[in-house]
Amino acid sequence: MLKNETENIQHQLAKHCRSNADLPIPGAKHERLHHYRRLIYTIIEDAIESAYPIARSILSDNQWTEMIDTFVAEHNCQHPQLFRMPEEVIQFAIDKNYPLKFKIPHLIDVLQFEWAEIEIHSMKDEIIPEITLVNDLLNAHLKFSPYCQLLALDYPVHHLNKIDVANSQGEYFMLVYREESGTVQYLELTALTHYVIVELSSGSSTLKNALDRVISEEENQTELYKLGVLFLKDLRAKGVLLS
Amino acid sequence: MDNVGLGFRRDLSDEILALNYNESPAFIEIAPENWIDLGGYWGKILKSAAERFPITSHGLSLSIGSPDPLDWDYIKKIKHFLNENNISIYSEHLSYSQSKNAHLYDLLPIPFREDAVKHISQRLREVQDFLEMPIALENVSYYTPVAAEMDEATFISSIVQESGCKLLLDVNNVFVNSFNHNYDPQEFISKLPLSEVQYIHMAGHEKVEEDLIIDTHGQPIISDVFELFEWTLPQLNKVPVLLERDFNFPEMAEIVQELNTLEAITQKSWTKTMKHA
Repeated sequence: MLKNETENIQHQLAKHCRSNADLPIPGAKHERLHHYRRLIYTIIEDAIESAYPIARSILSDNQWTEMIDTFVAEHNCQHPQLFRMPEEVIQFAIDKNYPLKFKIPHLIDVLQFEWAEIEIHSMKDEIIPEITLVNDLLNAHLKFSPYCQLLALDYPVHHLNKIDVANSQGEYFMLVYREESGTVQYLELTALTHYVIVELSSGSSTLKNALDRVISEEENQTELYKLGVLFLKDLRAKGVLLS
Repeated sequence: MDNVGLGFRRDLSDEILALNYNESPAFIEIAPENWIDLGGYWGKILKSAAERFPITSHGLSLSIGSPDPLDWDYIKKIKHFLNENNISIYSEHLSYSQSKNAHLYDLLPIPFREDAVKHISQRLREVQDFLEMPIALENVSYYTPVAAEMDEATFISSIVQESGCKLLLDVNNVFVNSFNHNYDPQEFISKLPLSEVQYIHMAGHEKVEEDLIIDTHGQPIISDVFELFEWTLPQLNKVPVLLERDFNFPEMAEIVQELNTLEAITQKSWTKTMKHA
């Protein structure tokens, strides 16, 4: 029903706003078009900067501008909710190979860490059935809060101000979780505690099953079981473990 | 207050919820896109607001004037959200914010053309049928016409007539457009289907060039816009009036003062109208 000509004009205007390309838009006051470009650019940039203040701080002004310019021009934002759109920056930065280009190897980890906080903070409330606390944390199948997320990162981005993160590549694990108040916290994990949560939250393993698979050769198994139970009690106190 | 509501922005939410009865707006307006599927802290805030105030809604991403297909997954979420929060008015913008499968998150001007009227009216009918309610469509501010083949009032009126939608009359936008495009705002309003006005918006703006005003919602309403509002009201049925303030927030007392001014005008205008009737 819409004529090709009208459709093309509308796409041309949108393209101008995204790329700043000088495109013919019939009937327009061309000296005023830059206001649309400015408004759209600012809305998208502000949303991304609000979501990723740490990433913004580790990028130079030129790097930041290059990333935002390219994102606005080339990336087709998919989410109708503006506050959820910045998630799309993560894959965009991977695709553009910005960690290598900007010589900031931990950039993607920073973006993932910052987005996890937003995602957990804003996550839709779920109806959680009443769950009885179990006494035998070692042998029971356990339920975890839906408001948490595990991160496996290559850089210790949670220590950004304390150490030379870029030169500390390794295996780092974190649990990001939402408290009852709505506040989001994170907990550093070891490879073992990360593994335990992955196994237990799948619902198919108990703590004992999970530990037995990795500590069968250890001499102090009983002590490790106790530490595992203490770890789960701590997760329960934090509201991460519901059982 | 009986007639005047306030945009419920996150930056204002605590202060709005803390207002006492005498200072409280008659209702609040939310943008569904800012609240859909939102839990945790902000979910609790919305729940508190919904318990205290009637809610109207003002969408941002329907992009009714876009050449792109409608996003039915999103429209289904809108319907669920409206029902879940007992929202009786769903308003949107007569503009487009999506092109070539990309959201732009701002309101681009549509060519005032007959084919656009048909295209938009058809899409409005489809969405309204699905939502089982009319959409109140806002006359948007625009800074340049684009490939226009008819005037703006005819464009708006044709869409209202063909789609059966309602009109959200944004009085500030009329003022902004009349300044930017050099026409008479009263004459413009007189050409609109005023019996179909379901909702009114009022806001501040910013003059950025000698001949250009941007519709910022970041300043107080100016006296010229209050005057246009006062001139318009007697011609309308009694409808909700909303104060939009989206950034550059002043003290809450200043916002309450603006609400009171708007309320006083509505009381004066509509009481008089009813007496005359």
